[in-house]
This record gives sequence, structure tokens and C-alpha cells, in this order.
Amino acid sequence: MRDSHIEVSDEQLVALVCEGDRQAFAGLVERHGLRFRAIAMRTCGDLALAEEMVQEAFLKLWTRPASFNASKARFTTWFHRVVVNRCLDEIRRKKPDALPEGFDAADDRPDAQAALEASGTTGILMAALARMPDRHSQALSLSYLDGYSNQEAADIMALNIKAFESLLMRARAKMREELKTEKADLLSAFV
Amino acid sequence: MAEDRKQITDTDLDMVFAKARRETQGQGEADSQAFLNSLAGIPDRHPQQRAQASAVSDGWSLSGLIDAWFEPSRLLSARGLISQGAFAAVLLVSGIVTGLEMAEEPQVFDDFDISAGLFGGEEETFYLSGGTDGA
Repeated sequence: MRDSHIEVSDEQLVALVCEGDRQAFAGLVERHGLRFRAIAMRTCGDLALAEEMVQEAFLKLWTRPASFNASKARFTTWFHRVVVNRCLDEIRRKKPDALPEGFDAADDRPDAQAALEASGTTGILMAALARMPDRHSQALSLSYLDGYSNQEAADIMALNIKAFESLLMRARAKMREELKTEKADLLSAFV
Repeated sequence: MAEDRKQITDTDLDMVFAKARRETQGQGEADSQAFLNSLAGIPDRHPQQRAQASAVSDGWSLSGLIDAWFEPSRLLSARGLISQGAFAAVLLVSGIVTGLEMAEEPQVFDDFDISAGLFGGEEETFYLSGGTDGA
């Protein structure tokens, strides 16, 4: 049954979801569940919260599929915004109140787990992404970590395709520069 | 030459991103599968009928109907203009018919005196000398 949805586009699957087709919904979950969890994870920085946000987004997709308008955007572009906006709302909502002056600040040195994670290839890459300008970092993430096509990524960033491709070229060059000093560590995992 | 060896090539970069992508999306195969299963279970926990019913009711709400009526593209289309003209003609004709029917009625003072029936009584009551009783 699942195989019957392989050749069907996301937009067609959403149309089937509107008619209550559970297999179509399962198809969308299988195609995009992990991708959007990774996106939410990068936005929230907390796996449990990221899973909760993606769960809410898919719940909305099931209960109110008509809120997606295929004539206005691709499914992935629309759903990316739903997930990221939900994450940002939650981050804003959970933002703690400022502590009183003179309060003992927490030790913000990375713990052992974080240090271990940061030492791997992914850690080095993520740290480099964090140091880059937001637009460069976003373009690289959308294209190479989230797996969007250039057109989808351009839609998400509200750019035309030429402008996005040019931004991506500059971002790649900048990233190569950022990683130059860490080449040995970075590529040790592939030796 | 030594400088070239320090450079990160496009291939290196692609390999690094591919590895990072696998790691960030995988994040524990068992966890990932459990997560996907919980997402796929949403239809079992949240029936869609309610949403469909509300979608239907939204579709037929009064505000929706009014919005549809006054949508400029519809209002100014050939069909819209013809139906507005037809409606105006029907209104005009019904007004003329009603007017003609009323014109046929005998017009006496009591037709316009809305209090005429409230103080009904014998006519002689209003004569001191009883001149109208004819006796």
C-alpha cells in the first residue's frame, strides 16, 4: 500500500489526506518526518521539544489539511514554515525572565557530552555554521542538511533562484575558508 | 602546492555535509523509528471527522457566503452584472405591481386613519341634540 504513494507528489498526498486517507498521511510522515525533526532540532536545540513541535505540525496537517493551499506554495516550503514558526513561538514563550542583578551566573563551559559531540565532524561543521553570517548558514543548511532543492530553498528564503544560487556559492566559499584550519580533524573520519 | 593541500575541496565539503546530514537526521535508528511510528499514529488518536465537519461548516458560513458574493472578480464579471441587472428588474417589476394593486383600492379617510377602529361607538354619541337619531 505504501508503495502506491512513491510516485505521488507531496501535494497530491495532502489532497488525499483532505479526504481522510491515512496511508497518504503515513506516506508524508515517512518522507518528511525525520527531515523536519532535524530542522526543528537545529531551530530549538532540544530534541524533545523538536519532536513535540513536529508532532504538533503533523497533527495540524491531519486535522486541518485544508490550511495548505497548493496553488500558493509547495508542501515542503509551507510545512518548513509551519515547523520553524512553531519552534520560534515556543522558544519565545519559554524565554526565561531576566535574573536579578548579582545572581550567580551558571557555568556555561561545555560539558563532557557537548565537548565530545563538538569534536566530531558534525560538531566542527555545526560550529563553523554558527560562526557564519545567518544568510550563508541558512542557505547551506537548507541545501545540504535539510535536502531541499535549490528552488525549494529559494522559496523558503524568499529569493529568486539565481539570487539563491549566488548566495549558496558565496556561502560554500566562506565555509571552505572557515574549515581550512580544521581540515585534518574534519577529514579524519573519512580516512 | 602545500597551500593547495590545506584547502578544503568541494568534494570534501560535500562529504562532510552528507555525514552531518546522516547523523542529524538519523539520531539513533531506534528513536527515529519510534518517532515516525508516533507520527503515523496521529490519525488513530485524532479522528479527522471533526475537522471535516468544521471545514464543511466553514464552507457554508454566512461570512463565507457574503465574501463570495462581494468578491470583486465575481461581482464585476459578465455573469455577476447580468444577475445584478436581473435582480434589479425583478425588484422594479414587483414594486410596480404592488403599486398598481394599491391604486385599485378605494381611498377613503379611514384607510389612512389608523386609529379609526380604536374609538368605535355610536354616531349619536357625538351629537348633543340627538339630531341624527331621526326619531
